Amino acid sequence: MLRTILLSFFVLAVQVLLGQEKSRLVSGDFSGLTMQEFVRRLETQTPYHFYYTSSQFDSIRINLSVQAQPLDKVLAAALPADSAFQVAIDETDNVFITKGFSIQTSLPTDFLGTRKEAGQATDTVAAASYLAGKKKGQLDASPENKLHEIGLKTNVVGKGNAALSGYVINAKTGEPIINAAIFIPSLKLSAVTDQYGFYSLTIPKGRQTINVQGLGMKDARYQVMMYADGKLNMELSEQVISLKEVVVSAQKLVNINRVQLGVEKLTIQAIRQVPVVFGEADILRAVLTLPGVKTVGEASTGFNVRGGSADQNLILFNDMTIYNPSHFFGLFSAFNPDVVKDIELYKSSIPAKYGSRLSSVLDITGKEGNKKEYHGSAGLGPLTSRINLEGPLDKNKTSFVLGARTTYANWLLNLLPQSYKNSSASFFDANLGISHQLNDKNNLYFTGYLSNDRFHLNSDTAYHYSNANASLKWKHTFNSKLNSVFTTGADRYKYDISSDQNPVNAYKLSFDINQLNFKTDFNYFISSKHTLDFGASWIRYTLHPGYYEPLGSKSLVKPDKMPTEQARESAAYLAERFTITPQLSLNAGIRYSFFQSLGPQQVNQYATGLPRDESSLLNTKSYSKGKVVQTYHGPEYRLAVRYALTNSFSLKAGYNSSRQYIHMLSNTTAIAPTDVWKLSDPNIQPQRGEQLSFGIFKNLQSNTIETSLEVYYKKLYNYLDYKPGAVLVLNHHIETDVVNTGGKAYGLELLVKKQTGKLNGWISYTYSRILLRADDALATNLINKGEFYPANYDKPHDFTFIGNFRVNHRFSVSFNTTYSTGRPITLPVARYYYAGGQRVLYSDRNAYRVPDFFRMDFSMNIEGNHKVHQLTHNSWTIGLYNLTGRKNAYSVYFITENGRINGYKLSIFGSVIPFVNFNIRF
Amino acid sequence: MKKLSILLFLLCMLCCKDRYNPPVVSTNNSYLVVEGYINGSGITTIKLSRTFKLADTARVTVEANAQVRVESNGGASYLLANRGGGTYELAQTNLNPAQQYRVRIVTTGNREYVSDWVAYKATPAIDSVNWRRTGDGVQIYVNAHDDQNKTIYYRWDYDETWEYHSAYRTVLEYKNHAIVRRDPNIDLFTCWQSQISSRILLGSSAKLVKDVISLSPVTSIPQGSWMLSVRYSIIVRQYALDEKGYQYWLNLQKNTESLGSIFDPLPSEISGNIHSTSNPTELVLGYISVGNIQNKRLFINNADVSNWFYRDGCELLFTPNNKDSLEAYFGGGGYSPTDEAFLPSGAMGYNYSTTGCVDCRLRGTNVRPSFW
Repeated sequence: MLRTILLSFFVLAVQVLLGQEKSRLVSGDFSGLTMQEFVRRLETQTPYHFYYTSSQFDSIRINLSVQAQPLDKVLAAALPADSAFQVAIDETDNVFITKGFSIQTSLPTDFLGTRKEAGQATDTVAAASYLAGKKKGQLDASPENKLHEIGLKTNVVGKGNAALSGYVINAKTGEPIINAAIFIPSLKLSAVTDQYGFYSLTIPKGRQTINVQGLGMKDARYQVMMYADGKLNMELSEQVISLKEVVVSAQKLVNINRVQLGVEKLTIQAIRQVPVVFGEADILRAVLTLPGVKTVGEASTGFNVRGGSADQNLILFNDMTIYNPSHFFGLFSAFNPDVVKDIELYKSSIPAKYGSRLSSVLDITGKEGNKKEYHGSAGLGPLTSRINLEGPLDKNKTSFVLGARTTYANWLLNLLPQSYKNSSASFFDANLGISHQLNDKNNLYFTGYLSNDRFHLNSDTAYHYSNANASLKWKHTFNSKLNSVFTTGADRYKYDISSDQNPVNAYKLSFDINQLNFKTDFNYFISSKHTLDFGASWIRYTLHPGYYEPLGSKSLVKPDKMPTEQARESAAYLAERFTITPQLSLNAGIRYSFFQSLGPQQVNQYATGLPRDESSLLNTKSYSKGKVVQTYHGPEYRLAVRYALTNSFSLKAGYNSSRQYIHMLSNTTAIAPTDVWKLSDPNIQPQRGEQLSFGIFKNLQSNTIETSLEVYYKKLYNYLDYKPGAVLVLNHHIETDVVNTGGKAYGLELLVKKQTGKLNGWISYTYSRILLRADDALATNLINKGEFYPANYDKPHDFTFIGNFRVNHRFSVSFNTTYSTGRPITLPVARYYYAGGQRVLYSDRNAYRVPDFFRMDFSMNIEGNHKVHQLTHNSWTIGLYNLTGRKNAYSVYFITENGRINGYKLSIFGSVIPFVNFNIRF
Repeated sequence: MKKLSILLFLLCMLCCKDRYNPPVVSTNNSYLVVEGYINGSGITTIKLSRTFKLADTARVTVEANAQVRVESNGGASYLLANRGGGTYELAQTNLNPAQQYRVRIVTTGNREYVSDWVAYKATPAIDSVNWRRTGDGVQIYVNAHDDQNKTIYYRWDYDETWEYHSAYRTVLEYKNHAIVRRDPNIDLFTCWQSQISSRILLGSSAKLVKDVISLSPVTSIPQGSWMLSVRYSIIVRQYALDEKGYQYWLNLQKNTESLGSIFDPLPSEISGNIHSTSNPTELVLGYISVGNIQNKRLFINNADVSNWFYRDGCELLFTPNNKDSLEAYFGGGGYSPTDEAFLPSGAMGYNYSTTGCVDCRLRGTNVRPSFW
């Protein structure tokens, strides 16, 4: 109502008062006038135009006589002292009289965190002024009606394009909004903000309407008048849960407009909706519900992407490499859900800036602290508890976020029989993130991560493993077209196992991986058609692949120290994002990686043309410190093409190749915390992989439903599989126990996703195969006689349904269903007697399968009341895991018991498991 | 890694283990299985059998009537005597430790199999076989060492024998529908039972500075077991292995005894050292080693273990001397009289118990072992 009046007044006022020159001082006798008459007299006398709601002045009569007084004094005297009327006068002589709130007539100069400079938006008040009542009676802060003039204003708008860049931030917290889509639908131009909320878009000069969408944020539209290159920071308001309708805006068009394929993104809100055992949101479990992602079993650490092994995933947490992403041997993922903002999984089009793993990149983005207020949250569950604090260190400039999580699973162990009473299990993880804005062009980010697991069994074997990571990032914006990020960090993963039960054999086995990283990434927006990404990275590896040492003075254990492995991996990349036509876009990248295995090193040399074993070992060659032992290098290609047939329908194709120089050697089904990692050396070649993929993306129902179909074919070279009977720990000639393996993987992935509305969730179906073949010409005793065999995680059919139904704003239910083919196993095919007992003869590797997997889970989220001004907000998560209580086979095995063969099926969560979790926010 | 299976148990507060019968998968081939140890200072026994299908109920398919020879690279050849049931035996032979030996087998189908040449590997003496009382019973260990640090890989097997007693002595028996005195020369009270090891026991000192095997577990006697109700004995035999043999046995052990936890290695087959001469790809199971066998015997008396709490579950009952009652109790053989008894009234009857509580021969033999 107010706005309509204001608008009509404005139009009127502009017509009447243009070009008039009048005194600003007020004189005259205004006794007995109504407000309307009073205002009319003032408007004829002075250049001011008045805006007010006439109904508020119905009962007011003016009684005033003044001589050459300024307007503000006149009004103060004219209006009743206790009437709560507020007067605001802006630069262009508009006068706003309001009741109960005041109008700010201009934006604070640093409102968008910027100071006025040439080439920057001048915030012209085009329609009504900006209504920014922060305290009470908050009005719509949408800046939709404002025209932002970019560049120096000229009378004639030039031809051609201009670059627009800036940050998209959360209007309330000042945090950057990642992956917000900035697009001009009419021109099919779009850009997506990076992890700092930065975007850059080249658009035709002239007046444009830019749409901005961010996940969980209200959509916004910005009117811009492009005169030249410039900056515009855009704010989005949070999609606050109102008491009417909830519309969680998603990146409605990102999946269509993005050139890459095989990219999956989940926000923490979506992750929280996936019911998990023990009730605490679990990032890795949510990843497992995505198409093309599999795991060998319910309690296993690793995951497999499109036929890749678990070590072929690069897991990055704010650019720190996490080697073991789970706690408690795979029961929990090692990431505190309260400090995670979102995750992105690249299955196919891996951006050229990432390398050193074949299958996928899981990019976990941590939360940035709130720059304006202190907040916190805490969660209580049956096995774990967590706490998280965030807030400004220096308001609007520096913020921190701190998270910690721990377990108290010992009560569980106390339920065990007497003989295990002295067992203990514990883990914790802690995160610290600090972000600091040096100035408009420079930002610093620090992230630290520590996780620790301990497991002790009576006075016997103790297991301990730990991740420790730190990274420091400096983001520098050179100008609106060029920006850069410099990252440096250190990552460490270590484990040790010790046993002191038998003093003579008491030992400790320790292992660690260390890496130092440095990388630079540049973004250069050349024009609306061309964007360049380029950069370089450098990793220094130091591995201590096993140190077996005596524990205690009585121990006769012979210290066995595997020689330290060292290497450096460097890479440079160049990628171009080329918008050929609005419909057709191309991302083409090349990455050249360069790996050098470094001394000191002892390299076993084997007779050429003979199978590698101890008998063909000729000699051992020594390399001195720092000497380059072996160099491997090669190009990696990253190519993706998108053709948009309509606004909501696109076709994409991609080709991807990559190289991996660090290998995990395992002869167990799942990643064990004690698996051995190995760097490439003269005897161990780097792994290579290439993937060809194709996808169809279609959005339905005005972009609320995303559908996609992707197919891929993938080849793997020099993957390392173990030979039958291989010894992997403390093996000084490990190359004799592994065999070069080639692989082929292919599949089809279907996804239907609805992120908005009362009912949301996704359905995915995957058909995929991964077949391996030992293709080492020299190796003897080949696995399955050199024929193709399915990998451990080959599960052809996989169906997942994740659904969330919001009954009302305080109550929602989630439900999920997973079905997949059983994983392959090696089954016994014959029996015989040997050494007093029955033994079994096993089939070819992975020739059979465990029974199919099926599980349903259910959970309810109950929120406390939604009053804004209360100290804490509480919520409960209650649910049932494995609703049908199906005993899904984790593994099937056969053992000789009392001389007889018995087959057993092991299920990890073989019954209905209820859980409850209490969360609190403050 | 064995401990990891216990770990799994802990993780698996919520998990469960069920019996599983695999789909019927079988190979039609029946492969030759060769088990044995060429004993350079004693009797050599080689057992030949064949693999059988998982579903087959036959206990053992033996390879009978084969010709089995032990050959040395010095040119000697010894023919093993066929003892029937697939067992072939070579009487006490002292082999030259400096030579290499192999087994040559010709089956009735005229197929020939030979093992690789295997070096004679001397086995050091067992230092001791000892035991410890644990919360769950008694754990038996073996200790060994080699001063020359040459043995490194060890394998053991064992025979257990134990003496046990009937709950009640009997002087009577029910014969031809009447109670008569028993033949006092037939002992129904003291008996022995024995069993051979069925698990693969391996030890390695490869990771130690000295060739020492300390407290390597052999077997355990569960708390309260009848094996230690009177007296228990175990003889542990020790075999030295070469590295390849150790790997073979270790893999066999892993494949059949320690699978099932999350972190256990996946089963895989590794080939032994016996091959077909005509078809090199034919699978032959087994690994032949050569050397000498060392053994040591241990005795444990019930008195050596405190609080053993062996319970036989036997009960002494009374029946009046009444023809119908006697026939009802003893006619079927389920119960046996022990001695005469009298009620306070002076009426005569018999004490009796279940036959298993009276006649120990039902669970073993009353023939005293030679070493007892």
